[in-house]
Amino acid sequence: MAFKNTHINYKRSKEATKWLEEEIAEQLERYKKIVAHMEEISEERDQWYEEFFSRIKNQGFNADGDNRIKIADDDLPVKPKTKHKVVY
Amino acid sequence: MSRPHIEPFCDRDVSFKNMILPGFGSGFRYKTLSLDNETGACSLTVQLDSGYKQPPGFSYSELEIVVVEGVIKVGDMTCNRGHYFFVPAGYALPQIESEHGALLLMMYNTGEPNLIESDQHHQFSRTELYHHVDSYKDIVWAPGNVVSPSVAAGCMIKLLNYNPDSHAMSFLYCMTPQFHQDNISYHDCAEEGYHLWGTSWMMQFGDLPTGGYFWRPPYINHGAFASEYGCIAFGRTDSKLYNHFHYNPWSTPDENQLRSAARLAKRDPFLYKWCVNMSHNHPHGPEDFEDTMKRKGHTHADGTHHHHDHDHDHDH
Repeated sequence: MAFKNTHINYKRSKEATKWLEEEIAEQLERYKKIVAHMEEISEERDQWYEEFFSRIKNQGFNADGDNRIKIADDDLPVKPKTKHKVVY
Repeated sequence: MSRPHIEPFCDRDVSFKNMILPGFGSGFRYKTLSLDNETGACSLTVQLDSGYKQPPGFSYSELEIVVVEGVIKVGDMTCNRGHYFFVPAGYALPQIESEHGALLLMMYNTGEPNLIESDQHHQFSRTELYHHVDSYKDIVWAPGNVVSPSVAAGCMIKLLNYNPDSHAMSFLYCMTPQFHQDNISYHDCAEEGYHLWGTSWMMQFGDLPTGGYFWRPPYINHGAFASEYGCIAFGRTDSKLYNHFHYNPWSTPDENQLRSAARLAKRDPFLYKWCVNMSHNHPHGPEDFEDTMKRKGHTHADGTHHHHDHDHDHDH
């Protein structure tokens, strides 16, 4: 994506249009599988978040490079009641 | 719409398909990693079968290629794994062949894959932008602190391509064994990554193994990060990479974007006020006088360097 945007205009062929339609449909299925899998590991992820909070309290949060700042327990965020997503 | 959020995905979990688009011939098989639904721009893992030959030709799309495994010959040049190509649209590559087969990463940046057989560049090709390099042998690893705030020590990069206008980058990155970084990051740019070898871990998505891939739109949380045994990967951004670090795993992309704007307002208050208060909301960004000013030897008939293809919603 370090695009120089060197696109040259052309007319998309019928074969390419059909190919693109099929690929879009497959990508949608791929996306749904990813979302479902991320939902499946929600409990494990919650545990990872707890371990992360423990590390940034005791060892520190990487603020810049290897500069670590210990975060006070009072400063940790409160989990919202809304449904949590990691894929958008 | 641009590409959706594809993360995590591992190309080892799906099978190769024969490329049916004209020009590529038999022996060119692929897996789609991500795809822009409108332009057809896409990133593919490509398997060239033993004995594959592709005639000289160009694509109407800009193209980036990485040799992941095996060897290809591009004209007379032998390219081993780690070889990287930036190919502007319309740039005619010589014959490509692989005697024993090869695995490639091919990224069509501005349109769907196409190959027009030709030994001449297209007349509109910006041929001066073409470049290639053996990224494994000819570039040394640099610390990851090319941006600030930076990643932790142990994450290093090799810059392969850079857009001086947008600051978009293509690069190799690696994590040393036992690398870890305890923060959550998001960026104002889209980011793409493909694991050439090794496994890394991200707190939202779990392990990303060899063949692991992500296309991540802007403002999506990722991290903390770790890699037990190390990894090497190819990555890209579509504009400037700025690390917005924080420690709230529940913040949403909308909240992250607002935070970015808030940080811009704190850092560049005059620019921010101009953008927001004066309704200077050009859909394609404000005018850069260096793009539009009259130049002595290089102007259009109307006296300008370029012209807008959109309407302003305010008066200057």
